[in-house]
Amino acid sequence: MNNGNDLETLGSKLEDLKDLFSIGEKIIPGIQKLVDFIHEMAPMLVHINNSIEESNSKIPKATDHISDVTSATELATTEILDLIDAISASTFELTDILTDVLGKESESKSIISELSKLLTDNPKATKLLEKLTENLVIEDSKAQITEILGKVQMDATNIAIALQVQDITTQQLSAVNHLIISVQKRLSSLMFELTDEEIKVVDNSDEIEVPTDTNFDMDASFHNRKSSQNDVDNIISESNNTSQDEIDKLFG
Amino acid sequence: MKKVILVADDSPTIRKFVTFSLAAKGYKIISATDGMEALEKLPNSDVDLIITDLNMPNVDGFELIKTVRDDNAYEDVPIIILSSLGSEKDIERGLSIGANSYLVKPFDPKKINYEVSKYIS
Repeated sequence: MNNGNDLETLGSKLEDLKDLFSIGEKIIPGIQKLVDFIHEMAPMLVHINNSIEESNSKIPKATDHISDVTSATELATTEILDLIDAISASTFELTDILTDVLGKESESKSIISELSKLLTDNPKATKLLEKLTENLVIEDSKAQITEILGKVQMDATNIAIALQVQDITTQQLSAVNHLIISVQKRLSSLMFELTDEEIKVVDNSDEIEVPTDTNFDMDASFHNRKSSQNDVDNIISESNNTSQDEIDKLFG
Repeated sequence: MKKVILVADDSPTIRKFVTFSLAAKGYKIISATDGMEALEKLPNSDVDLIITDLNMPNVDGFELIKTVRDDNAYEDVPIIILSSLGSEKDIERGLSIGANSYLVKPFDPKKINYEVSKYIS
């Protein structure tokens, strides 16, 4: 009985094997096409690999250039701010000098007035004193000088405000740098080694560190400062109002 | 005696501009390049007010504010946030962890002087 069953099983297995061979016959041309395709693709893969390698090697240079630009603009901005600080200090100094000169001019006018009273019988001396008084004109120009100094001060402040754009561009460039390094990391994970037997992925992405020593706001922008601060003040004011309402509700 | 303001910002431009805006009003400015340096300088300087950025390396502004507020010695020191982040979420987060005011960059020297004068004079 057992022998009969075994023969039956053997027959069935042979049938399966036959089916398998017939499927294999159908598949073999497809596999051959696939092998041919891979052979054709190999030079292209090598080319892609080389391109990735080349692009990857250029990325550190690009990020270095961006960092250099950031450092240079930072240095220049700091120097300009130093100069603005000096201009601003000079305007304050000039204002103090003006106050001092005006005080002395006022004192001179008082002395001339006293002298005029003493020399009423000397027309020539009186005329000279009048001439001297006419030359004491700083008081008349006080408003104009103060206005000019105020304008210089205002211009210096506005230049300093505008220079804050450097901080915004630094943040934007840091965001670009971060993006480039992330792309480099991704590209490095796509590198492969092509041998006769296999295509081996060579993932070097662990060797690339995304810098953590710079923080940035990717959306930083230099737009109208008044409206931005107004928006913030409105948010704070609204949130304060809400809190007040809640407090009012609590206390009935 | 001059009031002391600690400014924490990783941007030299902003540190310089804050100094430019406030030093003329007679305040003494101490600068820190990030939150960690600010926390190191805090015990050695009799600080009356802190102005801090939010995006900073090592210890950011949020962490700095939390640490300062958790320390009994500095819990009453006024803190002004000065950041380019201006979303409702950032503002609410900053104020909820203990900041007193929020200024957005780019800022006007008059505005920072006004905010500072609200807490110290």
